[in-house]
Amino acid sequence: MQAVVMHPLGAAQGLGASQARKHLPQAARNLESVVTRSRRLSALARLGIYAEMYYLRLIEVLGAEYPTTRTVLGEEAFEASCRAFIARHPSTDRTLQSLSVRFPEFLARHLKVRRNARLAVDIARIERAMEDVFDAPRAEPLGFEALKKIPTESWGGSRLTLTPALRMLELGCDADAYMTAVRSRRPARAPRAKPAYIIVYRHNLRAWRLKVSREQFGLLRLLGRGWPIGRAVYRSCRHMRVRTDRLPELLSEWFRDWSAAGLFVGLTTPPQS
Amino acid sequence: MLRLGHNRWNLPDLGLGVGLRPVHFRHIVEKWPRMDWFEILSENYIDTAGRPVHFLDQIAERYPIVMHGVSLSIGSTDPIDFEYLAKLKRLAERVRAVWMGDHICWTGVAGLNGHDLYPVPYTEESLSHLVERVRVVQDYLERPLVLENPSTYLTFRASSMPEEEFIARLAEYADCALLLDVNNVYVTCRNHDLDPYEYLKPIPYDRVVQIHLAGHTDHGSHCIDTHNGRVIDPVWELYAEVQRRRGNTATLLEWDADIPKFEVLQREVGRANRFRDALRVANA
Repeated sequence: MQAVVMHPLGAAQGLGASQARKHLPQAARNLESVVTRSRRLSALARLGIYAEMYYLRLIEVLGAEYPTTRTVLGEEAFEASCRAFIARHPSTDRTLQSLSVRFPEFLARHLKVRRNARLAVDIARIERAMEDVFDAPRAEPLGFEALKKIPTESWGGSRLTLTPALRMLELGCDADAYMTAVRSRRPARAPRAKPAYIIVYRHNLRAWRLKVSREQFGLLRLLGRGWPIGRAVYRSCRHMRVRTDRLPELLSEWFRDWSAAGLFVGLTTPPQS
Repeated sequence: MLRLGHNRWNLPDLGLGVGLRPVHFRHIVEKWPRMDWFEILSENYIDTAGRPVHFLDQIAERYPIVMHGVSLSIGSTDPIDFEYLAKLKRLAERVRAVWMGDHICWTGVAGLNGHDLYPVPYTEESLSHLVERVRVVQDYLERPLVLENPSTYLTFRASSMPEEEFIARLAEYADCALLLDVNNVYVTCRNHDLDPYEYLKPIPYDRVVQIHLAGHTDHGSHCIDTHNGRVIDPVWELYAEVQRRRGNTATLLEWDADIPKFEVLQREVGRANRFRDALRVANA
């Protein structure tokens, strides 16, 4: 029954599929020896109810998690992509939380549409990140005051722990601005291909998106990998076009804003000599 | 104060409740509306540590919580998933669940999950299979499992007994509790050309600890259990019949699609009071 219900082309095609024939060799010819008919529906139509609901339910879940991707692709292409995805990656979990984890990657590989394909994939990645941070574990944020207390001589060797409710995305275009426009029901033109960086994080129980510079992105990524602050700053900002004497002030702003957003949840300072 | 229910386990009659859905989280924690209890979909809270759990913790402080799952797959031939059961158990402790349950169905085999409630053949063989599995799950959870009759859209030729008899025997042999979904009784009977009042007769009412009410979609040739609207009159009449047979029982309204404002849910589930009050008058 499962092989029939989960067949992407519906119950009738499912009955003829090898998986179904393996268990019910007579199935395609004599379904009513297995499933009874009702007064109003044939056995196949009754089985078809489950087959239809299987895809409808899971497409609904994907639609709720990827609303802007759906808008960008249009109903037809979105539904076709969902069907193909579900057929390729049926759920193996008790919950639906991880059903669509691979959906952006799947779109990147298999999306058949030409128009807005890259944009759709980038938006799907953002929407996936929003789902991820939504469900990520809670951690007590570290305020900016805690950072200010780090002795100057320890600053460079200190390491920060980033919140588990943070995702960093390197995109092929400014999909975030487009997404904001679509979600606000404002007219939007597809952005040109150009690297863009955003972070997605949870703060006060809401998922937030923030566009960042390449240097900010690089710095956060290195901090997330456990690099000491000094080395991470040097590596990510060494080619930045900013006056050297202006850099401390700029970094202070960044760390203040990121602290306010709850991005830091742990601090390790080097032992005092 | 909770009233003790007339069932084998003395599980309480919780009164009238609704399914807890994320669209109402904020309303509930800001207004603390009048509601006797909430039922949660267990799977929505076991693999997340974010917003849903944050709200659930607050709500569980103020209202009794019942856990209702959709992925136990008690009828499956796959091994019982003890990792999943451990998560359920942890959640039950966290929210001090009054009871926990799932459906008499299977949701997948060979490691897959269709996220739907598929019917089992009502045979002696599948009865033995389910009885054994229910016992194992109850032993692990250390509490009775509350199993619900699903809406079904097909029957297997191999079935050798009616669904209601299968359910009654399962409950007796496995010593489990029942959740009687009267909307499912209506939908199933419509789909299989059966009389819902006949369906209700063999149900062991001393094992029924909870009742579900919901709306459904009538396609003419068949009904689908969509939980997307008000409870129709024939379902209320079935509810009244169950109340007559069972006495006042914890009753829950399910509304999962086109979910309205919380106040609409309050009014709709409040309609059940007519039957509960009528029963009290009759018993006076």
